[in-house]
Amino acid sequence: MPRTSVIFPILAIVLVLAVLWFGLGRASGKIVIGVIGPLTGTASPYGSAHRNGIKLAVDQLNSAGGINGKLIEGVFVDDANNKIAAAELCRDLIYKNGAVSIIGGITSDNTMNIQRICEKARIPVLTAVSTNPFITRVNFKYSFRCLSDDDIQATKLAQYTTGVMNLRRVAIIHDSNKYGSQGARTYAAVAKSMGQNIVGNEYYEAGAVNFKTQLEKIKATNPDGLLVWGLVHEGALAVRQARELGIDIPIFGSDGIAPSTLLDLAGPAAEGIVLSFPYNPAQGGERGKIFIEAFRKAFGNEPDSFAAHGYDAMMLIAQAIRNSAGDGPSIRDALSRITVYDGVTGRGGFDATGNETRSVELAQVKGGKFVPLSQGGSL
Amino acid sequence: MSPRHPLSTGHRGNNSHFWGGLILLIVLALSIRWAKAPIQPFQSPQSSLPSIPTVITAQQPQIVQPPLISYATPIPRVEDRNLVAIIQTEKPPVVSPVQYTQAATFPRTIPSYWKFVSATPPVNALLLGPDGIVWGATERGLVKIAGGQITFLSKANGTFPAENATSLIHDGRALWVGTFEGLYRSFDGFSFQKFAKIDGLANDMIWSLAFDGLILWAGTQGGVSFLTPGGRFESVDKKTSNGGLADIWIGAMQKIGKWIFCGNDDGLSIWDTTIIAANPSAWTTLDMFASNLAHNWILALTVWQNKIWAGTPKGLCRLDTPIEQLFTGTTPSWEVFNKNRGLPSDRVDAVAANESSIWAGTPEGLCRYKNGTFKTLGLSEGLLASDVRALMTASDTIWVGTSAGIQALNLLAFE
Repeated sequence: MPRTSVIFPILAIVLVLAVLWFGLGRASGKIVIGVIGPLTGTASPYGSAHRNGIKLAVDQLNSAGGINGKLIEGVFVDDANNKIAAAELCRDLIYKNGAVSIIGGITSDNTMNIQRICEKARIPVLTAVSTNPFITRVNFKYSFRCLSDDDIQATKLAQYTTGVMNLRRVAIIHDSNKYGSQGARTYAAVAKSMGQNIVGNEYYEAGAVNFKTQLEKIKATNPDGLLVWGLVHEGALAVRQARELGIDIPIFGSDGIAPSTLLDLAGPAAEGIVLSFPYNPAQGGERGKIFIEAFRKAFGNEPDSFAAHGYDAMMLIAQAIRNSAGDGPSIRDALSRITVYDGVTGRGGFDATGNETRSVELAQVKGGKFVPLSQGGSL
Repeated sequence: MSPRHPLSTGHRGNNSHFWGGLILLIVLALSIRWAKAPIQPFQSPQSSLPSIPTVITAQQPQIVQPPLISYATPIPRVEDRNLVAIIQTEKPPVVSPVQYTQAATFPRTIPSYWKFVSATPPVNALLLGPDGIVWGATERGLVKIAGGQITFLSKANGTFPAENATSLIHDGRALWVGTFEGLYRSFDGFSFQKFAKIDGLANDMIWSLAFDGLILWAGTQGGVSFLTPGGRFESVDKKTSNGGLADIWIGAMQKIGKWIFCGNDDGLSIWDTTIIAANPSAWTTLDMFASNLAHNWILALTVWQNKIWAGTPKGLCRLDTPIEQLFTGTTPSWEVFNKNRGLPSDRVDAVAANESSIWAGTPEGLCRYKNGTFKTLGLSEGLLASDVRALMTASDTIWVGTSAGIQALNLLAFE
């Protein structure tokens, strides 16, 4: 057999093996970031917006060459707003996909079930949506939040409803989950300390469509204001049914009912509602304008609070990875050093517990739009 | 006639051999490349400590169907329906005292009252088996310590079926290992039988285990489960207990008499197991809103001096109210020990007790409470890492698991 006939096949084999060994497989140099949220079901408006904001950030980061020479792989999973699914997906992202950070979840119940796994596995979790104060009040080292929590939101709402709206007899209707129950509890405590009476406190289960029993009880207490603390699908129906029952008093609510779907689901009943409004596009400055343009171009609609905070969350994780060795504990340490940042949602920062430090704005539904009170929203 | 390939030397026979061989090699390379699960092997933390002495056993893990298990009475019931017949079983063997050999080389910075120190992956649980073997459940598998020899069983080296291990218990006959992929039982420490949702477990993610001498209890991501004589698990969640179990993540469990204490994130739910679980009067939940419990998240539980001690994110809490009174509407009374009272950190991840003391594992060190005072051991006292995640007491030894390893404190030398 001629020598050349041996050399070429050997070279070909060596070449193929080299490509397979070095060019493929898990050691492809990608940084895996797990993103958990509801992409189906009634909570999907939050999860979809959150995913799109993060996806835009990942695309922009990768277009700019990734982080420290490595591309980012965002693994987006759908927990369908089920806390067991959220935990199982978090497990898979960490132990099977090799995620070095988790962004999520959306509802506080789910985030709590995620954060316990992350703490055990020493993987940082940053929630851009969940507001239950417990999330950063459990002395967990690996838990972070880049959104004003319920303490901040409830205080702002209570200050406004007592000081400006002059409400003295407020009734509450809230989701029974940890977001709704803790939010209602926090608001009641803060409002009472400001001289407000909580004359009614009713709850509903996630997925409820009929609130008339609870609203009838509330109506009987003769309140002068109604607080809705829950997610948008149920919250919008509660608002609509309250108006149908003739509850003609000021309604105000948590950020959970602030997605734009409120306007569609509640229709004219939404007009005049005052809401905790964590995302005022004007706060993002030039950076925020560029984000909004890019988001419109990518997805064909306006970014909401969940998209904008998701975008900021991904950029914060990216910043931490840049300043770390790339493993969970060092990314966590780098995140904890971010005491001030400028994001598309404005200037924020983490305190010693990993919680967001900034305050929150309020907005009012006016002419079928959310108008920040600082920019013309008023009673 | 087809055109010849550019790499052809003119002999059609040789050409086909080449391409055939090349395809075989590609298949072989692909098989090798992706045959193993994509797991990063554990890397020992950078320190002056000796590397982990890993002994890889030749036997591969076996996943088999669980055989019939028998228990003595009584068996808790979820609903009011008949269970399978109860078969008598032997008593668990007596736990024998253990002698552990100190590893040969220690950095001088580790005081001599630590009689055993080894770097391991982050530790989640520790257990002394009746055969004298110490087991560690870690983020990368199991650690077995026997006769001074350490064996590391992991999915990466093919000797353990799950990625991580969270909890451990021994029922006198077999070792039970809780993981995030199911519950495993092993009679010999080499082969592991898997129990999962298909066997009746509330969820495959196991957070805590308890054994009361008769019944094996598993705290899962989706509720509490217990093993019935038929070899299947019965499960209780918020729905089946009609709200009795306050929430379904069960981070810690403790069985005292007829009561099973289920630590969740809405407080401490207690089930009187002589009453069916579906009856809400069988349950009571102690929480921070209706009592002075420091926090609703129960991270660890133990019993010391006939009282329940709970580790929470805001302190170590001792329940002073007799359990019977909790079911009659008495407001529970807790004594809370936190940073202000001498703990190095408010958060308590692990608790264990010996005769004279209770020990708390915190993110800032190991803390002993004895005669009304706290004493803390941290990095300067020889801990490999300050975050104490697991504790176990055994005669004159406290076994400690941190994110950096396992070590054993010789109480006689330490005192």
